[in-house]
Amino acid sequence: MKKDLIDIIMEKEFHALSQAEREELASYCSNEDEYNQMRDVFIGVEQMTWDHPQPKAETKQRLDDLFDSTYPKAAPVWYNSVLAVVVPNEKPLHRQPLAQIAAVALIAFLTIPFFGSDSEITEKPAASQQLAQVEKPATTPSSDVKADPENEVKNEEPIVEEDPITRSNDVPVLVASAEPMPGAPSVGATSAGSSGHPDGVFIAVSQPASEAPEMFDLLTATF
Amino acid sequence: MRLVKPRYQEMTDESLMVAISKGDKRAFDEIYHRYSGPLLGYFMRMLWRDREKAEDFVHDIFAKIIRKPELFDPKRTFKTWLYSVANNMCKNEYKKQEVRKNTSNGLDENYAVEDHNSNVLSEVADNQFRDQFEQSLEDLDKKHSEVFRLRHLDGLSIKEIADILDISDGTVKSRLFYATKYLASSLEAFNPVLNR
Repeated sequence: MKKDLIDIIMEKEFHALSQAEREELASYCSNEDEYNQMRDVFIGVEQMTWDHPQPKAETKQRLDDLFDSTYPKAAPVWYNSVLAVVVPNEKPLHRQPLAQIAAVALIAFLTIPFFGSDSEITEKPAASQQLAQVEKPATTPSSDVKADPENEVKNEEPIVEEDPITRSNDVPVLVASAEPMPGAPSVGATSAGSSGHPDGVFIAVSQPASEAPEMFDLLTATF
Repeated sequence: MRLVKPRYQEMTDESLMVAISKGDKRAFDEIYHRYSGPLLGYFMRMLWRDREKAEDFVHDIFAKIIRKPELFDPKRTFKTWLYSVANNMCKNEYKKQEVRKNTSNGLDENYAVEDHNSNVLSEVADNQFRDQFEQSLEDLDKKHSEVFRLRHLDGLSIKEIADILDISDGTVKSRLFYATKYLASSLEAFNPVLNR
């Protein structure tokens, strides 16, 4: 903070004043005697101890009442008292019970999975068996469909679909064609004549082109 | 929710005023703690040492802060604003007193509005220098004495006084030096005291 003229007068003797300070003071005191007289007054007043009387307690009480009436507090309800205990306003966040409980819960949530990891491994096979049991009924043909003669042809096909090899590598795609393809693999495929299908639909299971190079050549030539 | 609780003692007056406007009681307590004593002293000096009146004025000024904190102009410092409000209250009181004086019906015009409950003066009665000093200040005209009081008794800077009284820095300096010269001449007999 910049010192004002009075501070300079109280701090410095007349001979210690700079030229700029003397010029500033020139309009207020013309010579050294006047300067010293003024300085004595300032220092004398500064040394005097001034009592700062304190207002009466009643004045503060009246103001407190006025403050309470001007800014009324919320009506006390049951959760306010609970909140006052769990989230006390006077304490910083890290010392509030709610924050401490949340911190313990978080630590527990993060550490418990590491304790239960062994039992999870042993339980895995059982879980996969259950999954297989759930899947099987969906793949096996239902007894209700057997009555339909058209479905009998289709009922023969699921044998191919259930092949574990093809199932594990790629999902088989059923391809419908009017004639049997010359380079098509014979595995699981039935010709229209041999199947005896009335529409002459040829149903074959496609395989990846990498497993049948001649099929790949054929596709390249076609497109 | 605040992560760290506010330390009211370290807060500035201006930020305390913001808190008061939101109904923060502790902020008000802090402001009261900082300024109630100096304001009471100021009002006592300005209002003929009438302690009761000064108490009422202290109550009124803080009541204004409670009721209308938005009156505080954030562009000014709180201290300056507060003293300018106090100064205006005193001016209004002078006007009232002037009207009463003019309409007095036989009452003693020299009725001294002294605070008989206070023992402040009796405590310093033996200090002749102080008595003389007080008397000299009283003898000064108001515009000079109030500048002197604000500077030396309330500890305000020349800039702050200029802001409170709405006058220029130069005028403050001029009044201040005039008052000082007057006091120096009237207290000349106490040179040993001044030079201690």
